[in-house]
Amino acid sequence: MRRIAVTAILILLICTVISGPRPSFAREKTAGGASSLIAPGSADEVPDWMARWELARILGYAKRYDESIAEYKKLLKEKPGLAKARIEMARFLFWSGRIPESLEVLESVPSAQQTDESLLLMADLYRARKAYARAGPIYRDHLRRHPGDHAARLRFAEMLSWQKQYDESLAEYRRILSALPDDVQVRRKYGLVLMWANRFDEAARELRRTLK
Amino acid sequence: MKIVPAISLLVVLAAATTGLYQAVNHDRILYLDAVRLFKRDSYCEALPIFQKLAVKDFRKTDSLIYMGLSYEKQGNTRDSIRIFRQVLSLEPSNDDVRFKLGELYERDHEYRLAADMYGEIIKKKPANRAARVRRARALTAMGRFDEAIDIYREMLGERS
Repeated sequence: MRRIAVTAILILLICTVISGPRPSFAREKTAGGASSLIAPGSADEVPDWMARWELARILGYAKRYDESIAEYKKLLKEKPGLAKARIEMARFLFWSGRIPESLEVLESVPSAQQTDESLLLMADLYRARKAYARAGPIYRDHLRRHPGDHAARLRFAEMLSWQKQYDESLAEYRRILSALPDDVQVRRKYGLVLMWANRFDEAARELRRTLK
Repeated sequence: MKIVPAISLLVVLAAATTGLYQAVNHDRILYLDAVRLFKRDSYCEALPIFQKLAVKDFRKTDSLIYMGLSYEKQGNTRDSIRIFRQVLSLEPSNDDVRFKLGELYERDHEYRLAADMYGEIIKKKPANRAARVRRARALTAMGRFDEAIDIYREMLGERS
């Protein structure tokens, strides 16, 4: 009888040893818990100035330019070093036709903080103000770095034609047309510049191509 | 002489308990291994383990969250969304899951669904700025500028 009891106790002991330490269910609940991994973090917190910046931008997209500019001004009063916001504000000023103001804002951005986009906007603003001598080098530099920017090249080609620099203008048009041979509007403009350059036969040929 | 059946019963009980515990412990070890794999960015290896554990209902919510995150880390947004929807059906009041789903819908360009997710959070917690901003961004992406503008103005205390 005693042997049976000892054997039973031994089996119990062996079972206990095999099963290892008793788990801590309190620890189990937290070890490797995944919920904390999806909780919104501090990156999701948006301070007021950032909310105002987004508001200013969306007002601009919604073409509510005056409200947008007012919000940008409030933002820049609080954060004057936000060059990117300054550039955006200049763009919306440009879109709303306030060219001198736009240029003034853009020129207030330190050159080290100018971007390709802001420099191109500056060239467009100089072009709009007929300051061609200032726009030209910026366009040339931009097109050297972004040869596939046909929209910028077209604006540059137009500007050259307004300055009566027909040969250079026509060369730019040809570059665009080699990439976009089916662009009827560009070809028509090309034809017009050929006319202004007194190259009537070529102009007629190009304009005829746009009527096919 | 009743001691023999009593001891036998005790032994059987002990064996059964041990067996059961071994099974549970096995899942726990598997789970912790999978978490370790996840933390080492070995999502491919972690995924099937979490899947197996979720099927067995072992820490189902956690396992599913890890699955969803693993899919997300692998760039598989659709499957991540599918899994987090499952989590949300298990825990309908969990706004962190709802926020996560909103983010995933945004990434999947499903802006209406994202805006809806954030909207549900805002309904319950109107002061939740993160959800409000995210909803405004989703509305902007849909071109619903006026609604987004209203949200921002409210946040800035400027609503007329």
